[in-house]
Amino acid sequence: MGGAVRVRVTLERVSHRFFPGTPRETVALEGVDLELAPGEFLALVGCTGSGKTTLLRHLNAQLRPTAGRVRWDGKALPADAVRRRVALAEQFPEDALFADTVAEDVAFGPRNLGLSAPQVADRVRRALARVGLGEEHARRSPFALSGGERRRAALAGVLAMEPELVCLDEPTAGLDWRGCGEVLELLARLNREEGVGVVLVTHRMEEALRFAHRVALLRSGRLVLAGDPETVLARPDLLRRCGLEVPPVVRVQELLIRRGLALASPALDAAAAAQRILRALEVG
Amino acid sequence: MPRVAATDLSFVYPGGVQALGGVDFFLERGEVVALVGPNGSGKSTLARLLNGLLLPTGGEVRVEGVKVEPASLAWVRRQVAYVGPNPANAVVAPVVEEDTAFGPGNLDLAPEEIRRRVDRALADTGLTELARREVRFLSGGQQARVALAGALAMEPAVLILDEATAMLDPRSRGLVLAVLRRQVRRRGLALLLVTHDPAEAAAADRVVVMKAGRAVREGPPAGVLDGTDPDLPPLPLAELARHLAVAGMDVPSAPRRAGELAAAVWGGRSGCA
Repeated sequence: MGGAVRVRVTLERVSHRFFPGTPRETVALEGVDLELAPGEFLALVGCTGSGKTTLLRHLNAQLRPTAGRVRWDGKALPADAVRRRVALAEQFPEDALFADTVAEDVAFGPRNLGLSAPQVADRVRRALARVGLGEEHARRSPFALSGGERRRAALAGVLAMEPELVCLDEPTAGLDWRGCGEVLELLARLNREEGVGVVLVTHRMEEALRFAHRVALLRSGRLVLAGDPETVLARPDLLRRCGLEVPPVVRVQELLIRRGLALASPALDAAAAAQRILRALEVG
Repeated sequence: MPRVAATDLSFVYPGGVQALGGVDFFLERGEVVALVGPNGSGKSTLARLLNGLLLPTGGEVRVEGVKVEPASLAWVRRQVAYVGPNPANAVVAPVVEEDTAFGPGNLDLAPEEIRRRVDRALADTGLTELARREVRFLSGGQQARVALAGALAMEPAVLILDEATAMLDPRSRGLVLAVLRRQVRRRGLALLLVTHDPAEAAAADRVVVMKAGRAVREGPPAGVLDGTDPDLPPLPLAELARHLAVAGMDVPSAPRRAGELAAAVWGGRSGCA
């Protein structure tokens, strides 16, 4: 799988206005330049109404820019061609589960691609394995699963399309502590082991910083900053201005830096943060 | 008398799934309680029993001493408001302010009083500027605030937020929780937060842990969310505090706020160096 083709998505000065020319005209995105490298794990963060979901929907051509353009491997593509390569998991995707069994539900997409029965069965088995659901889950009704299992079953339906890039809108919303961890781990594994690109929309900075290669900060439809987690962690002021939470561990370090402690930059991980604090105290 | 008291509460869903088995629970006037635990542990079932969205199959719930039963339901729901996790399920009118006015509109209030409550609830949830907008065109987080505004306009004695802030970004969540906290202090609102968010639980007076349909543990946040239970998130700063303490620093074991821990580290720096 490592050598598989992965799509590169390029957004050039993408703007999106809802209801243009009416009194309700709303600017959802304004001049966003962003390039997603093949196989990248990107987190899109911002507060409600910052344009995260709108941006996500441009990646699989559910929305088209009202100005600017989106390219897939350098080309403009029709929506159906994009959606074979880029999958989108909406918020609360399990609300769309409908079939009698989990396996049937996961099979729905691949069957629509015109695959043979054995190919469909193979896709279903692989997709369920990727989300950590087994044979015993496959035969059950989606409604007999726990909340976390139901979410993973819905994600299996998305993964069964074998996308090169999977875009997820708040995939951990409403899940419990364990369920959140399971979903994030499966995305990280998918990205690491199979090279599938991941775009994660979240407002939880912890999730973004811990799992993504790169974090893109959105505010009022504009891209404020895109950088690796260390770069973003060094700008707690910017997070706050975007209406985002500074993780408490980072906040402690920020306060210490403000008091004059010689910490180069804050760490997200508690153990690393403690080490940096202790070292700075020894020096200072 | 507690605002809400549940005694030996059981609930079996049609089909035989036992969601609750013998839970005792209470919520006092002016108290903030966080109800935590894995999905499927019975948190939402308990929350829904407290305002009569479900009626118990065993035991009882009393609101201000009045037993929750079909005859008292209308009254109970005016006292106990419930906001669930999916805001789209709670929307009843196309336009934001109409949706907010729907609940108080059924309370026999004067039009001016309804207007006052709607304006207040919209301001408290940061929706004033969106009052005339269509709900279906709002973002998920904005819709969640619409659902909250509808509950606040009822001015309930008890408010149950069942994962209702999960879709909010930190700024909106902070705004809403600050408003609720003010109501807790000023008019004794009893607030039940069903949550997976450790920061939200950390700010509660009391944390109740549910597992497999039972309330298995309760106490102050620092005692309950100590990182020993793999089903529960640790308090956000507990791990950092533990690492610092192991290195010999004198810091609180479960600081609630970053400032508290930073001050302890800064204050103890000479002793360490």
